[in-house]
Order: sequence, then structure tokens, then C-alpha cells
Amino acid sequence: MLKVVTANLNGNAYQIDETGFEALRGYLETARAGLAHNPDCVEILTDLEQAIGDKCDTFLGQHKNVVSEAEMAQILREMGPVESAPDPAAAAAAETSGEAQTTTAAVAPVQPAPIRRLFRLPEKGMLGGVCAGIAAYFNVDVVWIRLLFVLLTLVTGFWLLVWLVALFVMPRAVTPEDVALAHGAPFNAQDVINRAKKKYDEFRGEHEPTVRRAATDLKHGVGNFGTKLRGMGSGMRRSAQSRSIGTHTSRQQPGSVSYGAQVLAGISLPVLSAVSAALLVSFLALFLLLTSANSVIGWIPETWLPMWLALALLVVAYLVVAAPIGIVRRASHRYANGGSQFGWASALDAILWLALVGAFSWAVYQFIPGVSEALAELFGAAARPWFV
Amino acid sequence: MNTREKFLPIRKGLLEFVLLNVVAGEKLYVAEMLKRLAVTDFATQEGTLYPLLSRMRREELVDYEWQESESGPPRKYYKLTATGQRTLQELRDYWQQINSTITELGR
Repeated sequence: MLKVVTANLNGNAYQIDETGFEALRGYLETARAGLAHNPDCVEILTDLEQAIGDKCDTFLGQHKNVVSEAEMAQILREMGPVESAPDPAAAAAAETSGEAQTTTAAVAPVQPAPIRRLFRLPEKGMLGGVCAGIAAYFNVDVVWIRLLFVLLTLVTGFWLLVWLVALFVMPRAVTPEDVALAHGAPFNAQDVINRAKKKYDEFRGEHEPTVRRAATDLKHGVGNFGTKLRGMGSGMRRSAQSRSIGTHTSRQQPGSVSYGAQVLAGISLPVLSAVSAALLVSFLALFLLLTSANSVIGWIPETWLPMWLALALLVVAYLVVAAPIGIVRRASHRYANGGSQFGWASALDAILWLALVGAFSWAVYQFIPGVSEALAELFGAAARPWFV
Repeated sequence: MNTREKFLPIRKGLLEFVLLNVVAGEKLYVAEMLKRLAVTDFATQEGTLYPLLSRMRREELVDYEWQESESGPPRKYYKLTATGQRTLQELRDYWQQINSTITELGR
């Protein structure tokens, strides 16, 4: 049960629940402050009140006579920030004196925004603005959030995945209004602190258990999958080893392989590396295209296939194809090194693989339509890959 | 930054010109103007429109009259004044001039 407050909007009484009323009061107070130097301040405020009242009417009916917090939030969002119209005379004066036009132009736009939103702020961030957005949301210095992310990533690589997901899930702040919303508009300090605390508590209360559970589930799932794969790999290695030992004479040390097998593995390694690198790059490119353009080279996911499911299927498909190739590569390393897990063949192959990933990425960036645009969209126009 | 973003400040600056065009045709109240603009690139909100209209009225480009409505309170219907007509014509000419300049520079 919520307390209801009656508000007088331009001569008509409206019943609004308490939190909604607070939001409305915040909006009108910010508007009043922004219009303080406007000769028509009173008239504009009356017009705004009337417009808000009209919007309330659309939510009210015979069996509903209270405007809820959510409805009020929607109304205020529709109303938009009250901007005092800049005085063109002042602007022209600024222009002729060679100053930036916006600096002297009347009163700065005033944000109503009792609501704070989680946006990415690429212009303020180092990469995608994820940490900057989170920092703005919780009103802390971005350095702390970055440190936290880096430390957590060092402890468990899982957090890199969280960052990647956030990069795609958090909307990018595009307009100045978005940026203001990302910070939330302070209309008085105490209110901002209360709201941030409340939001944070709500968020913790609602989401933390589920997020944590999902995270552990995912981790266990991935862990099990990895263990199984490793099991399969060592099984294959063992059987390959036993075969080679069986066919060759006791001249060889246990664990070593024949010269023929070594040469064969040496030839197949670059091929396997090329396949693996191509797979990785095409997976990343597809992921990027799916998330940014909602389509992959003309193919748009069917309506019954939600975006998250399409992405999940893509990840699974990549894992299914890439995992066996990885196992064969590891086995080939062993053969090419002459029986040991580490050796010059592995080192050369690693360098080759890195070079191939670089080359393929460059090719994809250059020749696949939409990739460069998607990257620019994601990281802001200023960020261009170093290889261009 | 896409095209729409690049032109954001320009669209903002053009809003007055756009509004003069909108009310040039017929008398309108604010909700109708918003509805008309909503489907264009010049979509805007009450918070922007009311202060802008009040300034345009101070500059005697537009004026309003009260009209009764079937539902609810009377509404302010905005229309162009004689000065507004003249200003709109000047702005249209200037817009044409800018347009042709840009086209010619591209040749």
C-alpha cells in the first residue's frame, strides 16, 4: 500500500502516489530553476503543468484515479528536459566575437531526469566505456571500477566475459541527454544519494542471488565441459602413443615418436593453426555483426529466434567446432616436438597462429562489409584499430 | 558517429524554422505539433517546445488564441503573425541559398 498525494496541476487536482509525486516535484522545480531568467517563466510552467495533467488523464479512468510512480516516470520522460530557448541575439554576439556559440547562450539546458540509466560512455572510457558507465551510475571514480574489473579478471577470467557481455548489452549513450541520464540529474544532493542507495539496494536485493547463481552454474558447466574435453584429448593422445610404441622398436625412448609422425605433424600443424585462427576470427566477426547490425551479411535472425539465443547458439557452434581442432592441435604439438608437450614446434606454431589471427582480422576489417562500421559504432568514431 | 548524430546540433538549431513551417499551414496546438514532428527527424518534446514557443511569441513571430475543446480545458492554438510570415519567407530563401551552395561546392 502506498501513500497518495494530491497535486494541483494548473487548477485541477490529481492524485499521484508518493514516489511519483516526488518525481513530479523534482521535474517542476528543475524546470523553474532553469527558467528563472525567462520573462515567461510562469506561463511556461503553467503550460507544462497543463500538459502533464493532460497526460495523467490518459492513464486515469472511472475505476482508476491514482497515477502510479511508473506512469509518472513515463509522463516525465515524454515531457523531456525543459530547455530555456537560447536567445539568438546573445548567440549571434558570441559568434561575431569568435567564441563558441553555446557558451553564452542564455541558461544551460536543465535535465529533469529523476531516473538514472545505465549507459556505456565510450567518449569517457578507455575501450567501450563500460566501466565509465558503471562509475557514472554509482557515482564513483571510474578508476576504482576499472581496477575492480582488472583484478577480478586476473583472479577469474570469467569477468572478461562479463565485460564483453556488458559491452553489447549496455546501450551506448548517444545524445547529451543520454549522458545526463547516465549520471542522473542532481536536483538536490540528499535526493541523489538516497536514490542511488535505494537503487543499489533494490538491484542487489533483486538480482544478486540470481546473477551469482547463474555465474556459478555457468562456471560449473564450462568447467565440466573442459574436463571432459581434456579427458577425451588425453585419451586420444594415449591411444596414439600406444600405437606408435607398439609399431616401433625399443630403440625409442618411451614417449618419443617416429620421425615420420614428426614430419607429418609438422606439415599438418600450420594447416590446423590456419583453420583454428580462421574459426576464431570468423566467430568474433559473426558475433560482432549479429550484435551491432542485427544481421549477418544479409541474414536477419528469424523473429522466433531472440538475439540472446542466436548469440548462445553461435557460441555453442564455435565451441563444438573449435574444441576438437584444439585437441588435435595439442596432439600434433606433441608429435612435432618429438614427444614432449613443449618445444620449438609449439613455439613456432604459436607465433604462426598469432600472425594468422592478425592477418585474418585485418582482412575481415577490410573486406567484410559492416565490420568496420560495427567497430566504430561500438567504440566510438575516434577508435580505429591500430592496423588500419 | 552516424549522420543523425552529426546533425544533432543542426537539427536543434533548425527547430525554430521547422516550427514556423508547421504553424504556417494552419492553427495548431502543442500536442498536434508534437504529433506532426514525431514522425520526422525533428521529433521533440513539451519540455523543449513550450520555452521555444514562448520566446517566438515574445519576438512576435507567432501568437496564440484560446479555443474551447470538446474534451477538457480550452487550448492555445498557435498561428503565424505578419512578422512570422515574413521571417519564414526570409528563412526559406536563406535555406535555399545554403542548399544550392552545398550542391555547387560538391561539383
